[in-house]
Amino acid sequence: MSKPKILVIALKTLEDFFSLKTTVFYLIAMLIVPVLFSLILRSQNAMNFSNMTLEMQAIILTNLFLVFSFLWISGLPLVLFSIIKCSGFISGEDNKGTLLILVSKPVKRSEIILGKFLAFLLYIAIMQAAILLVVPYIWTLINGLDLYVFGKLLGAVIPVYLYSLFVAIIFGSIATALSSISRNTVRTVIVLVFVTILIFFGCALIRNNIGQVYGNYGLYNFDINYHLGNAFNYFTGDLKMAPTMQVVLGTFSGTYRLSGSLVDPDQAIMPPSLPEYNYFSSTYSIVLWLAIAIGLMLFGIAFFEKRPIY
Amino acid sequence: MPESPVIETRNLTKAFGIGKNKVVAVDRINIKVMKGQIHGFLGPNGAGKSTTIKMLVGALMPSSGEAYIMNNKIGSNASKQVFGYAPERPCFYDDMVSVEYLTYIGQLCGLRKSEARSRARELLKWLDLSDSTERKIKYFSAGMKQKLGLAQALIHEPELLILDEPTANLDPIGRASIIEKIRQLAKEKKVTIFVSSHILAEIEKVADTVTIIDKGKMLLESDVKSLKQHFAGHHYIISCSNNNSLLKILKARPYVSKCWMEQDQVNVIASKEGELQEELPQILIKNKLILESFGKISLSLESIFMEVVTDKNVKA
Repeated sequence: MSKPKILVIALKTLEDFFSLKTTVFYLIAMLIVPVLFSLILRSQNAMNFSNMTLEMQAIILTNLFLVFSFLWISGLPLVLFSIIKCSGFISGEDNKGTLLILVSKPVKRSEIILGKFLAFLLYIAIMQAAILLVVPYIWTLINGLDLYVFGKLLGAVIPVYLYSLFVAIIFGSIATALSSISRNTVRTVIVLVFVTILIFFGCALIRNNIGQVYGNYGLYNFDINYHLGNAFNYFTGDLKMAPTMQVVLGTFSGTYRLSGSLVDPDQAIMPPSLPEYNYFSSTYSIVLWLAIAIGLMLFGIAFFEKRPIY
Repeated sequence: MPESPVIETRNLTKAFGIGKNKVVAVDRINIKVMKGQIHGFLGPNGAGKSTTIKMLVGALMPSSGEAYIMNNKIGSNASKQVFGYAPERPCFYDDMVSVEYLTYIGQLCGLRKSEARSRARELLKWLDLSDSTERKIKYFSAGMKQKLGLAQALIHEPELLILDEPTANLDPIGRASIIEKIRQLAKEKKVTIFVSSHILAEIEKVADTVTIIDKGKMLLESDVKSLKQHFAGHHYIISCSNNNSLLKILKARPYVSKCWMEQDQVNVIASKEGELQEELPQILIKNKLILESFGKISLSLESIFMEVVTDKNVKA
């Protein structure tokens, strides 16, 4: 029996993704910062791991791993990769002229889009799994720590992995939908990257400097970083992030209340957990963005069904 | 029961833009192509040939009208299953090797991978591309790419082949090779072929029937044989002792629809058969002209095309 056509397209696209150039670029982009960070930690002996119990080492590294995952491994590089790759799914084929032959074959146009998107998700699923396993191992290795610490770090891998897939689905589907609407891949990438960076850093700037405007005007509604932070808390909530790391996460995502004193004046220590803003529940943020992604994807498919191919 | 056409269009229309910017690229075209025919789809550049073909293959949606391929509405997967299409300038995934590309396209047409691969090898051999089976497409010449375009269209052994300017951009050897393959396909595999071209001498060699369009409008649809008979039957070349004088006289005759001088001979297109032959001896005697030669000419498709396109009132 012949393969379902959606699978034929997915496998071809997956093969393209696994080209040496793309895969090496992806690995370098994802690993360079965590590896450099670990090397710096070791050279500065900043953490003084040798004076800590194994449990303490595991807690500290798990916290660092969570922050790194949010900001980097499942953060901006993953978002940018999703945008750059998915923005060319349809418009790229159109620009190259290969789409004309493709649409003349007995394949539904929806199968073309969904096949490519499926390949993207499979690629991210494989690559993120590899990276999320490699980073804890490299950290353990560079800092000369016991494998027990590595084992403990692995406990954070699955929640972060699920969050990675969530990020890939959201940004991948937005970019895929736009690729079927726009004819110009470069313009789509530039606009999406610009808007993403603006939202990522712009909202953090507004939030951290003029918090009242942010709260009073409901800017959190449009602050994708807040929603991502909310979703991240949903997936990693059981791992009990330390308040110092919550400060870092809160600065970027706005999910934790950072105003006022962060230290309990009676005990002169930070509380076990910082209060959250709770503009929305984590579930709401996840459902909202999944709905946006699915809605855009359906719109993109409907648009592509009627799009003239020259 | 009469056989149903392989391609049938009914008032097929495509307009681009709206309001003042509206351009009707294809205007109420009605085409019928029967099984086993090689049908030439002719027209000057910008006539609407490629737009019509793109509607047939499902790349563009018609603005109005309808079209069917083997009774399946155009754009449907059922219609796409029965034809293979090679665009004018086929574009490929340059980093793929040819056999991989054809296997991929074969799988999209519903073949199993092994089946698609063996069919791909068979086609590459038939198209004299055996040596390039494992070569990346980016290293192919224009002629090789045109052949690969034909191969991808044939991968699932379609009953209908739709070719858009298959010989454009090729050198004479490449053109002859493609034309020969088209002839073979029709003769040996009984494939119905719908081929657009503006190189009429080539189409003339293979086509059974033709449609001529210009500025989006259909001017003529006929089989090549009766088309030639129709036009050639009325086209005469005469030479006499004073051709200029004869030209003047004939121009005034009511049965002469066109009359002009070409290569020192008088060309006459008569609206009716017989009248010119009957009256010509009297004209010659009366005007003291000595006849040097008289003959009906066998028209090429190109001259018919020129005549039809420049005089749109002509009906076959």
